[in-house]
Amino acid sequence: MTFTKPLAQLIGHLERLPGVGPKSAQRLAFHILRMPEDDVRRLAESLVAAREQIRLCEICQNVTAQTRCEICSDSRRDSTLICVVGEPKDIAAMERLNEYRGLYHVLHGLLNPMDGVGPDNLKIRELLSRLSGPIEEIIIATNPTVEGDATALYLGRQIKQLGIKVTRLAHGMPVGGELDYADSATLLSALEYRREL
Amino acid sequence: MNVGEIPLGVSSLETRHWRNLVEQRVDLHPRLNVLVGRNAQGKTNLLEAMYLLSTGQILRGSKDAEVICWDETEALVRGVLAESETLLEVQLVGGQRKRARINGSALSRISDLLGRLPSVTFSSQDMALVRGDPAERRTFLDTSLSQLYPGYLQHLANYKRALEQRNVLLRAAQEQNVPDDQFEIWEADMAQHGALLRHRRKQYVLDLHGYGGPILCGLEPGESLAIEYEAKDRHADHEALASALSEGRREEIRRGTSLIGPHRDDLALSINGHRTRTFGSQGQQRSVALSLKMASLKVASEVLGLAPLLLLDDVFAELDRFRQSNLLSLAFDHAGQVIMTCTEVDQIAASALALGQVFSVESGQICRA
Repeated sequence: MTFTKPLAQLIGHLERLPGVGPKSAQRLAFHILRMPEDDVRRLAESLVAAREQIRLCEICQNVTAQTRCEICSDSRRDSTLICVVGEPKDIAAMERLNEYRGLYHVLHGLLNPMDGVGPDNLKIRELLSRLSGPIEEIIIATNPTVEGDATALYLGRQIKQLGIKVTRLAHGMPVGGELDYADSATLLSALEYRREL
Repeated sequence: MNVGEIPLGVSSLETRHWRNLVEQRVDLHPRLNVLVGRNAQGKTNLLEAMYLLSTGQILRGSKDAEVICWDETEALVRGVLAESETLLEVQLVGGQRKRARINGSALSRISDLLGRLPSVTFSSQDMALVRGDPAERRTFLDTSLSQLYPGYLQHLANYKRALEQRNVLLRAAQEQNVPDDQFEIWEADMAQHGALLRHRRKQYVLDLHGYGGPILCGLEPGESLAIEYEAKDRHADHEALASALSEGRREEIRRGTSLIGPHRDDLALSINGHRTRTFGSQGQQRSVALSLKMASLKVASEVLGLAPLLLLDDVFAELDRFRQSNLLSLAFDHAGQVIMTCTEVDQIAASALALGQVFSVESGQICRA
């Protein structure tokens, strides 16, 4: 059956979101129709407001509502340390640790020629322009995938040329995990990057 | 089976909505299981269920959805390992990735099943090993090695991914300038993983050759089979491969594809110096394919210290009694559990049948005969 036009349009828009198939889009659309009108208006307004107000931090390129994000504006953070991540959500993961006191830099992706992503499509120029000040160490925290490794290597070479220390997050066994249950890829990498006691 | 080797096998197998085996539960014999039935009754489907538990993959190149019963949304194959009583399960749900569980706990990747129940399979499709493209033989090497060394699969996946990325850059460089450093980051990965793949493959082929000679299946006296790894370039170690990739770049840009590395290599098979792909008779080609598989069984049992599962699909009809008994004794020497299919029970010697269990398979029903 075909839905009446406003409903069909709503379903059509929802379907374009990542992870939402035709069935989920229908379910969401009918749910929205049953919501109080005020709630629907607030949802719509928050979508527009987020889109309008959220921009990239002028320093670290994280998403923020200000020109400069909260982490970059925090004078207690160590500005000689920069942790480079692929996506804004990776910052949230690092921040949950409450251990890291340096700054971040978000690349907004990883090098991936197959998807048409080259160095110019990432926030690499913005990163390099931050390195003129006093920097102790750059920690590259891209994902342990082929693309994450290639991106780390690319950045590592460029940053090393500037005489700055570059490190990469270790990969290996999950802490508290059992050897027997580790997947082979993780175990293999843990074996390759083992260290002396 | 050699002394000290642990025989691998499945003591009981269950299928649900798996091809035409709608709801089947079979207690298998620890050594020999013979599945007898006319064509298209479900014999091979049971063999495939075992292959699925062993590798997490589907034999015969079918798509995942094709193995689920018509009108059903999911299929399940479940087996209990004979020695350890480990429960292996693979579940297929239409449109989703296959999921595997070991003793009820879910594996993050289906490939983590590898190594629990190593197996060697032989069917008429394996003629492609001799007659087909080099890709068929590379796949044989890669799947065999993945069962012996689960880490191999990771190196292979990383190599292929870096190769694809580099190929995209090579083609892009035909139109516009691509700086060297953008190539180098993918070449570094290709060199690292590529050198490892070649090293493993070469060692494996040496072992195959070593065991392949003495245990030839069905070749005539005076015929000797040579199995050699044929690298299309000489760059064996990491550094050599990396510099060859960098030096070859200009020509590779012109051709738009990577010309150096293990993805171009082949397995050379020859009888008395003649390539079997072009020179062998059909009978010789079958013997070579079977010899290769039996050599891989022997190597697997040596490397693992385990006697792997052996799955033989409709092999016996093509062999005379002498070659049959030769094959069976090899199977008993090196395999743990053997599962074979045939259309007529009298294709197999009664003395062999006495060592195991015969099942009849009809319209998806499996019964002890």
